[in-house]
Amino acid sequence: MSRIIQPGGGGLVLPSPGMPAPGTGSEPVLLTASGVIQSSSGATLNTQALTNPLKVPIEIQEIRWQVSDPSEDNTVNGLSVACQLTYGPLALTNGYIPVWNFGRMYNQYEDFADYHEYRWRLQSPLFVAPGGLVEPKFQHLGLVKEALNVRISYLGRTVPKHRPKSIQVPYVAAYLSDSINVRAADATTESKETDLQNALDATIQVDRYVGRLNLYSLDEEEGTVTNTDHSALVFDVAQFLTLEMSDSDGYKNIMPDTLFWEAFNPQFRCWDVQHSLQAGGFYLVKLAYDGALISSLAEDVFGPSSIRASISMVGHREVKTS
Amino acid sequence: MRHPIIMSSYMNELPDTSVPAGMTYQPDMERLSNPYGLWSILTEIRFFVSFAAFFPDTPQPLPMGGYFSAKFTMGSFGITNQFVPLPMFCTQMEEQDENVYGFPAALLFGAQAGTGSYSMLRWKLPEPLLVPPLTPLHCTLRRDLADPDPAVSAEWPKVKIAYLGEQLTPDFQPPKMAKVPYVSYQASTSPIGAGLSLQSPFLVPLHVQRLVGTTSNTSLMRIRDTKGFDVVKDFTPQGAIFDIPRRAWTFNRVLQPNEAFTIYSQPAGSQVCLIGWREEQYS
Repeated sequence: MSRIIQPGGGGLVLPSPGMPAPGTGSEPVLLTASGVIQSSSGATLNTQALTNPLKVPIEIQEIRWQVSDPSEDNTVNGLSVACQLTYGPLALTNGYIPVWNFGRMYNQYEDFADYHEYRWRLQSPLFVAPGGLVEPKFQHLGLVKEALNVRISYLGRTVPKHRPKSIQVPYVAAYLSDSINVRAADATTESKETDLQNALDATIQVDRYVGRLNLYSLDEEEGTVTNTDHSALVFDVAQFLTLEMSDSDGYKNIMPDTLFWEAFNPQFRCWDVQHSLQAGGFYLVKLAYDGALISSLAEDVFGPSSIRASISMVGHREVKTS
Repeated sequence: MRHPIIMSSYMNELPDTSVPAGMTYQPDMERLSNPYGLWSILTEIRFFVSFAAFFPDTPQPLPMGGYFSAKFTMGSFGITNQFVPLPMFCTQMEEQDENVYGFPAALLFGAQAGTGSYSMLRWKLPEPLLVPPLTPLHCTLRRDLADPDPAVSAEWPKVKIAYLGEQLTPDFQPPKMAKVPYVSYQASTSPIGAGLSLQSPFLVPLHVQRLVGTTSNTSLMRIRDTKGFDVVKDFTPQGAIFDIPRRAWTFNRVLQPNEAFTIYSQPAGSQVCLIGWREEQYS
């Protein structure tokens, strides 16, 4: 029930439905769970820890992931683990999404001494009823042979008990490119219609595209692997990577010969948009790479290295609850 | 239904000889125009500047954005008052500078010796710009800094520009009035007495979004508007006006026709950029 409040400055403010009025006790909430995923395997975490334990609904405003390699032998990142999210019968993702493809990069503070953290600020908070669960499933993408630690956290707040007529539900789909040898000349790879697709039966509002680029390097003597997306080498290699993108309505969205960094700028790794994508609609991405200059270099500059792009569309849709 | 779009120029190919400062370069406007002949809305402009060279003992010439300036017009609408250095379009947070191996310098001088620099800059327009189909946003780029020692340079600075936004439907009808961004840049080596004037040249109000400057704490600055109001009353280190993490001061102020901010610097020499928008008649 909304009530009229009178702020100190005078005048009457009628809170919108679902907004807690000041003083009604909206509390911050954090739910978290962690686990270990074996290489190239899937895993579920402790879902009880992620279930709304309160008698009032909560709104999830942000989801965070932490990834680390307990062996400390390798460097891992947000392409090492992918996550699938569902809320009851509602899909939040089109399959598994690399965990760095949900949100924008925030000032590059993602890499810490012993773990990597990725944040996703939801465009609209996700309403979770008492006892409700946003269930994550994880997939180790096999970039390293060691098992990885993963943690997921939901951050939000409590809201007054009510039953909204509709809720805003996020939706994310991703395309994970083939690996491209950094010495390859004239390599191309492209997505399928089912990758960046709205697989729902409703229109979604696409809010942004996120583009990440991973440089995978194998130290053959040590047998260790480095995955990085912001070393000097990545920036050097990326100048030879261009992309183009078109949508299912036949429009070109990214014109050919656009640099990867032009579309997904290094500061935020994203492109904010407003695009209505109808049910079944999709984007097609084509990546082109020419590493001819690199192939002229001595082997010890790059060693056996490959790049892999992951591009996602992040949006939301309205779901009627009654 | 609107469809997102990125249009980008080719990387310019400046000659591999010493290029004098002041040389202008015209990106291929066909690549920066809507390919379907539709009305567009531009929300961001991104610049990519690349320079591969060999600098054995000298610091890298970062940020690379300072090597170029840009001038924008759209039909009869002025978007910039003159050539504006690329870093002055955006806050520090919208700029990324990297030192890397650099090609082809690495091939000429050896992989470990060849170095390069990139600057990637992003100007998020203060208001989306409505672009007619046959009147694209016209860009001219200019080399500003002189070359480093040609004897140790393998490649001259290159620049690439991208427009990001949305393309509108074929049946789109333009409004009578729409917001148009405006950038006024001033630089001077004048002494205190001759202040820089960031003036609104329009007959309509100019809505100021921010001032962009430099963050030198050895240079002092004060700002007064034409009504005599002291925006910055005392000579103040520029790093305190344009805070170091952002290189900018964002505020909300409307300049009426012929109003201006006057900038006084001490010692002589300053550069300041005013970013804002005004309304223009479209139909």
